[in-house]
Amino acid sequence: MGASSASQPPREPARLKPGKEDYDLPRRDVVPVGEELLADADAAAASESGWLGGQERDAARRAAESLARRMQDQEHVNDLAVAGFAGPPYEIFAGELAAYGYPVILAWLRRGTIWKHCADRGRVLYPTDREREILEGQFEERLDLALETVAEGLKFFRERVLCAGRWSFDGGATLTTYFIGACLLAFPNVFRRWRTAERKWNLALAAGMLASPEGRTLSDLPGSDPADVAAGRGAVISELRSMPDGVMGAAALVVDGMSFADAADRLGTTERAIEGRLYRYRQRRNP
Amino acid sequence: MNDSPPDACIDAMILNRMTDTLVILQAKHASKDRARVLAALRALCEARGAAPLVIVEGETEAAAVEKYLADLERTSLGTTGARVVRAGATARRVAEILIRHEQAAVSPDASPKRP
Repeated sequence: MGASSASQPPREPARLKPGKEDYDLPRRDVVPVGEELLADADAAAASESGWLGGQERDAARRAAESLARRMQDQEHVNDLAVAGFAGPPYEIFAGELAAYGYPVILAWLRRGTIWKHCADRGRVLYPTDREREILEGQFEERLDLALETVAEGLKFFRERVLCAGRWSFDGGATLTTYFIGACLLAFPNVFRRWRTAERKWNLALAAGMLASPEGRTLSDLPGSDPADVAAGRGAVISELRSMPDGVMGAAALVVDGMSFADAADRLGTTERAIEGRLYRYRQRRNP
Repeated sequence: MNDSPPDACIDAMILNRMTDTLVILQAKHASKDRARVLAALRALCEARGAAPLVIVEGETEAAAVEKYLADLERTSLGTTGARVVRAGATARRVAEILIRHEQAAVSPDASPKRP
C-alpha cells in the first residue's frame, strides 16, 4: 500500500471539497461498471486459456477485480464528497470502515504482527515483553487500543485523505487498504498513550500505596462481631491476592471505602478505567 | 478476495448492525436526517423478515437507502473477505468508534445530547 500510495501523482488539496462548482471529479461516464469489467476479464481469460497458465489467469482476474472495486470506491467517494463527507450516508460509510478496521487491528494485536506492519511504514515501535504479553493475552486491553486506533484512523482518513483528495482509484490501493494504512499511522500515538497510562498505573502500585487492604470500613463496622470481621477481612485479603496486579490496586482502594473517582486520583488514571477494570474482573470471575 | 454476489445485496447481519449503530448515535445526538435514514433502514430490515412489508410513506427514502447500500457493497468494503470481517463487528463497538470520531462526522443538523 505504501508504495502504491507514494507513487500517486500530487493532487490539489481542495479537489474533492464540497461547495465548489468546478471541482474535478472523475467523470462517471468514463468509469466502467464493475460487472462489465469482470465479464471482460473472464472473456479475456477464456480466450487466452491456451496460452495463459492458471496462475496468470488468476492474477489477471484479481487485477481486474481490484480495478473494478477501486473504480466503485472512487464513485462512492465522489458521492460522499458532494455531501461534504457528513450526514448519515457518511456515517454509514464510516461505520462500515470502522466495522472492518477494528477486527483487523484486534487480530494484528493478538498475533503481534502490528509491530511489523508499523515498522514497514517507518513507524518503528519497541514494545516490551510485558506489553506484548498484555496485548496478546488480554482481550479488553486489545479492544480499548483497537477502538481508539480506528477512531483516530477514521479522523485522519476523513480530514487528511478524503477531504484533502489524497486518495484516488488510480493510485493502486483500495479504500479499505488505504484506511487500514491510516489506522497504522494512528497506532503509534495511541500505543504510546496506552503505554503511559499503564506505566502510571504500575508506578502507583509499586509505590506501595495499596499494600494495606485491611479496610477501615470493614473493621469499623459498628456492632460487628470481631470474629466475623476477622474472617471477612481474611476472605477479602485472599480474594485481593488472587487478583491480577492492575485489578488488585483498584479493588483494594474501593474496598477501603474510596469512590471510583478518588481511587482514580490515587492511581493516576480515570474513573472510567477503574470502573472498567473492576467490571471486566467481575465478568471474568462470574461469566 | 472474491467478488460479491451479482445483486450486491447486503447481509442481514450487517444491515441489522448498521441500524443498531445509527440507533445508538441517534440516542446520543438526534438528527432529522439520521431519523429519516433510520426509518428507511428499519423498513429494509423488516422487509427482509418473514412478513412482506408495504412501504407507503418514505418509500422513496427506503429505495434510495437500499440503492446506497447496494453501491456500498460494490466498493472494496463489499469483497467476501471484508464482508466476513464486517459481519463480525458489533453495533456498540462501531458506535463507540464513531462517537469518538463524532466531531468530524456529526451531521450539520445534529442537536445537543439528550438529557
